[in-house]
Amino acid sequence: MVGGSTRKYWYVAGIAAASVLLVIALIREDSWIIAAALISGAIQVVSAMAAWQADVERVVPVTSEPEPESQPSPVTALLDDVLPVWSDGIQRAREILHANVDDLISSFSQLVGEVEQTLSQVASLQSDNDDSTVAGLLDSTRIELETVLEGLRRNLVEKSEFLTKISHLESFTEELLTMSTEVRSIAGQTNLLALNAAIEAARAGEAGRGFAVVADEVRKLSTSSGDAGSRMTDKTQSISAAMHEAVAAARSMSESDSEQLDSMASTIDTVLGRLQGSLAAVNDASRLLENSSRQVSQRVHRIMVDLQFQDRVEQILEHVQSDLVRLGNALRESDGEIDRELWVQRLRSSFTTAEERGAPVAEDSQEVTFF
Amino acid sequence: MAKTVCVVDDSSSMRQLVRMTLSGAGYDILEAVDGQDALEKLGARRVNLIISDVNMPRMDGISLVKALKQNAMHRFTPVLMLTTESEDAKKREGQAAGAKAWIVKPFKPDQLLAAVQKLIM
Repeated sequence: MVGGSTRKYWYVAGIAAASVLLVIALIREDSWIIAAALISGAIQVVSAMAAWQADVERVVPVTSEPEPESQPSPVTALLDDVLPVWSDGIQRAREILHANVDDLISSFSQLVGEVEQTLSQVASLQSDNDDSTVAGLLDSTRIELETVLEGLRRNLVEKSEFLTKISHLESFTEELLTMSTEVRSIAGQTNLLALNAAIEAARAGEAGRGFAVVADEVRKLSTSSGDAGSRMTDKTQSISAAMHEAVAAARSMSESDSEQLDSMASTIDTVLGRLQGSLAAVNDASRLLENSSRQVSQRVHRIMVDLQFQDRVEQILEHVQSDLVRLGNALRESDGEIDRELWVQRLRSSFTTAEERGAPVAEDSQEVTFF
Repeated sequence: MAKTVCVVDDSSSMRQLVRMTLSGAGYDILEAVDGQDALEKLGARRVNLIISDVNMPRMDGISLVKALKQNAMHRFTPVLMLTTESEDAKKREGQAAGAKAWIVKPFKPDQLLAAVQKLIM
């Protein structure tokens, strides 16, 4: 740069000298001096322009050529170009990984929340209807229904005893009929006796007149007794028939009640049996659901452990990326003169994960260290 | 009243997974992306436990524990370190700073929850 600038000043001085010669030649009107001055000036102008152009090109970096002594080795130059590209690639991979795993965990978290809510509702239903509660409810229902049935059976027995007593009354009506027949028979005989007494009274004449009156009254009484006996027979027969019908109807009702009671008991047994069967099926389903919810929970925990890979991968990529940047800087500064052993040692000391150190990742043996 | 746990980790996925584990058990969560952010967010707010990563930008976990021990409000708040660091030297460093427990990632949800319950008790 210094040489170029000096040359420029000399060229400018040359032009100035040629201009002075030209002015003197014009004043002196010496044609040869004019020609010499013109040629000299033209040469100086062309040289000055060329030198100026060279300086301008040296200043602009696109067209400038590096000094031969500062040129890096081809490998360093290649790495200088490639390392930023690798670093950018890793950065993009980290960004993609970060965004996708974040979305994945977010969706997973939402899904787990919904599943847990459903399972807790099912568990709540199960605790309300657990085996002992349902079995107890069924047993107490069965006992209550059995009590009702027992009451109805007792009623039937009492009704049957009542019917037996009514049937026994029927036999009394037979006796009443016999007694009323006897009354009619006695009345007939009394009437006949009264008639004989009246004949004998008539035969006794005036002396039997009073006896005739008595005999007549006795005959009237016997006729009344006979009529009463007949009415008694009629009534007793009516009562007997009505009682017979009532007993028959009551017996028929009692048989029907007994059949209905048996049918009710059978229906209750069937319904309770079905209910027990359904509840057993529900309980089986609940137990299955409980088992699968335990399995779901274990799997969720397993997935949560697996999803933590992003954090470790992110750290490994970050270490590689920062080492690439450091390598680029070191190559530029030292042009490949790097202590490899020291470099690797320093790189390894920056490792934080077991995977980077090549140690096995303990999956189930991780302990919490309490201080 | 629900107990609050402050989760400090530069990995949002880790923060989400810790949140999933603890909020299911009824804990409130306060998230911070590094030690500096944790100190700013904690301020005068009292929490029951701090779970912190170790390697983080701006302020790492060990420095955070040291800063908390200098803070009158948070001096006695237990700190659980949750990190990929498994070296004993690093654990001793955490213990010297004042951390109460150390879990190496990846953590198991049951294990983390049990440790949290033990430390908050």
